[in-house]
Amino acid sequence: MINLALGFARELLGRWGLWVLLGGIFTASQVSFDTTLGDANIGPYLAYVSLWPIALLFRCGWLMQKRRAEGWPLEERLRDPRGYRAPLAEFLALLLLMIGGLLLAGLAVLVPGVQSPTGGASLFPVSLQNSADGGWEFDLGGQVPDGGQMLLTLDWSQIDPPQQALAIRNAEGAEVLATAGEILRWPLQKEEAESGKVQLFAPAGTKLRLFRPLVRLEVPQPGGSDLWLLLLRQTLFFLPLMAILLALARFGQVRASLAAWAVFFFGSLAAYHPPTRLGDAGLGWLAKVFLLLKHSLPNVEGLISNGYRFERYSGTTSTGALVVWLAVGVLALLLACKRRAAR
Amino acid sequence: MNPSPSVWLQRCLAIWIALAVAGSLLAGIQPLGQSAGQSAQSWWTARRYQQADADLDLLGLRDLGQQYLHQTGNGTPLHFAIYQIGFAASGPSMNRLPADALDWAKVGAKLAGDSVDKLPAPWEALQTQSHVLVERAFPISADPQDLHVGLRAMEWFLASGGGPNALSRLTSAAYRDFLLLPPSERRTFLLNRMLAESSDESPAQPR
Repeated sequence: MINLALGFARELLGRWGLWVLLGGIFTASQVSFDTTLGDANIGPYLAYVSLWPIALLFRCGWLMQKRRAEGWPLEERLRDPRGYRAPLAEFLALLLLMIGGLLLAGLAVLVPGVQSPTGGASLFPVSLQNSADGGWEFDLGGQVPDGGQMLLTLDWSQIDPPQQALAIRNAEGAEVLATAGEILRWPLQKEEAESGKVQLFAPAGTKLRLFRPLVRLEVPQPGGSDLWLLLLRQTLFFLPLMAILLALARFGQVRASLAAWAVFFFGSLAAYHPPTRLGDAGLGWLAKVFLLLKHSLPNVEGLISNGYRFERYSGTTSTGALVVWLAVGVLALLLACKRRAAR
Repeated sequence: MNPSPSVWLQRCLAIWIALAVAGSLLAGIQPLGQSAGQSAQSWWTARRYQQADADLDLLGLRDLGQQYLHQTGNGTPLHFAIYQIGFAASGPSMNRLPADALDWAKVGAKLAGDSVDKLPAPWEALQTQSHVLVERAFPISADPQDLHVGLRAMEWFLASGGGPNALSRLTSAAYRDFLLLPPSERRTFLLNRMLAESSDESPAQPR
């Protein structure tokens, strides 16, 4: 099986694959981390690196279709009556190439001359949903990663007699002391971070106001030292997609290149972050169908979050969702190994 | 003859792909890998911004700063554009005619005002806006509205203590002193504070 896997991997790489990978990673690291050309943000680098598994997905679809046309399935039946060696070898080859590519990508920040991002915090504007007397309700636009907090700039000028500090609380009774002339930092409670909804109350009758345009959400930004973890998450996102491709092409017996496109869009749906308000997407029934489909999938956006502002959703995937996602992959791999009667 | 299950599956996949393409176009679903294209586009915007800076193309800085903010959520280039247009371009060292300097100051102040709710860190832009309006625009235009908006921006800036990244005890203390004054004296307090500030420091130049 190892020989089969290595042969498949060699054919997947082709003559130029390795050079394309090395050149791509070098270019991506330069435009992301170079001291003059890059912007020291890990998100764009992750986005460039994610092209590698996507390319593998399509290349695998093309190669499987080519092999089918060459009569490989018949050969496999003769050589391996139980039918699990070839699909497992193909999966192993994909796994090897993905991990190899991501290992190279992880080494890029260690190259002398590149500027490893140091992390820090990113700020995001927040919309105020409702404002009643002494209370504010915020919509953070979905789940927030651990360590997220809200920054509120308060207007104390209407309070008579003037006050220096007041306690702000939420519906569950958690309190933070706000001081005049300082930004109020509200650490998000577990439920608030999960739901993305926050309701805060000022003491009744105090006329404490909020400078609405200045409300921000602060989210920790991963630095260079977190790159390996982020790359591992990307790998975990793509592995089940590869298994689904194998299942569709082998058990489903459909054209593998068509299956690759279907899996690609399935992955896009899994990575899709729905807009806070449906009106944002200019849609209708189609968006509702996709939203319904999206909500029936485990929440794995946090695995594949990349590009600028990636930290907003990075790491929001729960262990339960990850287990379900990987279980889908295992199931697909089992299906790929199951041989159907020849037609 | 009935089509086989795999033919049915193939048809279903084709329909799914068609729907997904329509979803990408209409429902805002981003295909995998699109963020790589967007990142490359933003990188190119940053290079054009650097060129505009080197060419002293102020309106180019404004447009590209806005574009970069929209693409990446990073507001530093736009804040730098606000500073360059509103404060630096209208300053005495540029030797502009008063009407010309006023125009630039107004453009910078409007840009700052329009960007406050979009910038990730709007507090510095508020400080810049207040200095532009009070120190650059108002002495030429004598328009009370300029003074009012400028002082209001300074009040918001003081209320934030300088923002989370530049929290200053002096700024927080100044806001508490401001609150202790009767409403009729607050404007004068803000004005005096800004005039005292401008004699020894200008708004922090972003970079």
